[in-house]
Amino acid sequence: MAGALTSKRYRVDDVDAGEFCFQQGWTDGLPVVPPTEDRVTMMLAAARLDPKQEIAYITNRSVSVTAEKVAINAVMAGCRPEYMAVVVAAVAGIGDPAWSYHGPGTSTGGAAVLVIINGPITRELDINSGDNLFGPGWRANLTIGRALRLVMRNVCGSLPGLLDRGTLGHPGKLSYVIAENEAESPWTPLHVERGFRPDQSTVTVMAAESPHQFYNQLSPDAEGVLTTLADSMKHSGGAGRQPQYVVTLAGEHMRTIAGSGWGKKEIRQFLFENTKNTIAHLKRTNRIPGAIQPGDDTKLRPIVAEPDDILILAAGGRAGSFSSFIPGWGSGRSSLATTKEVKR
Amino acid sequence: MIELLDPTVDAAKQPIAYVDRPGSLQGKRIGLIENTKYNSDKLLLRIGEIF
Repeated sequence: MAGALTSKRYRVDDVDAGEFCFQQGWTDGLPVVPPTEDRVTMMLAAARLDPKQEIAYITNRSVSVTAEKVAINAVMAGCRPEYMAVVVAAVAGIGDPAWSYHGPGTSTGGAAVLVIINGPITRELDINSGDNLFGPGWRANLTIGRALRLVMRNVCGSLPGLLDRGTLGHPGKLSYVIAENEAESPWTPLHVERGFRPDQSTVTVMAAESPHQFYNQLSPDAEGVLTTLADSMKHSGGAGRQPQYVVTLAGEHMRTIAGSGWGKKEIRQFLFENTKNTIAHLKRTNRIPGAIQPGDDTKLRPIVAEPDDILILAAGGRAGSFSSFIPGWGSGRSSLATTKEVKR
Repeated sequence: MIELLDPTVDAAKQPIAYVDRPGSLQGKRIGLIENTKYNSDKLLLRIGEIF
């Protein structure tokens, strides 16, 4: 039997409930579903969680994120109860010390939390991995990400203009959830590469810039498509400062690259080798300081430390010669993607 | 009427013990800590010159 809910309660008129939530500063700028006891209880029951259970502890904020608070914010976001276990895994992910909440939750760099979902749950909950990958149209994608951001706002204190000081931010800060297209992918799914079984469901979170789209309708092989991608990637982010990247390869590019016999390992290696910048270029374009020295024109700097820092996903619509890359937030190893199992 | 649950929390209160403030910096050695941002070393050196 789950414990009692202990959050403070407010009695308001039915018709004023939405406006009350705005007035309290609880929303992301859009209307929310009023968080009533029955709705919150259903959310907790679906994930078989006790309200007091700690899902994450955010050290820099001295905040314990309990299941009750996650459930309240999931209700407000418009989640169905069966989404709760996914939201919980995402919250656990951003609470992992490797994700390092304070930086991406606060920085002027304006990171969003890219949430990548793998495993059987993506089919069960109809989490989109195809057309309009980053756009509207799927309740699970939109509300799971929104719930995570509401937790960051209402529990972790990442209030825009106060402890969330993103200079620009981007629309992914409202919601930024995708699934990998495992059903059509010829490659090993991300979560299996990261140590999970194919039949497990997982959530991977990465502090991330917006998606950057690229176009190649000309190339009949892997090297051609990835040459275009590498040329776009090499001048992105801080061009040598990102801890990780995500690359999403949509249907046409996925089939073209797989047709050349290339797997994710070969893609990573090609991108790593072909996105290096010369030190001279980085100095000339004011990305790193200092005058150009002899040898700078041949000295190369990769955009990430290792090929494995480029996470490859099969995701996006079947039609169209478009794919994307997403620079991670920060420099060095300041925030790393973490993967958590969805526990049901 | 409808009853809503509060989605927010209050951060745990933590006492912070500050060292006693000196009445004057005269004769004291001051440490200025760089935050690794570009040019922070130059800024701190200029601040150091003021003292």
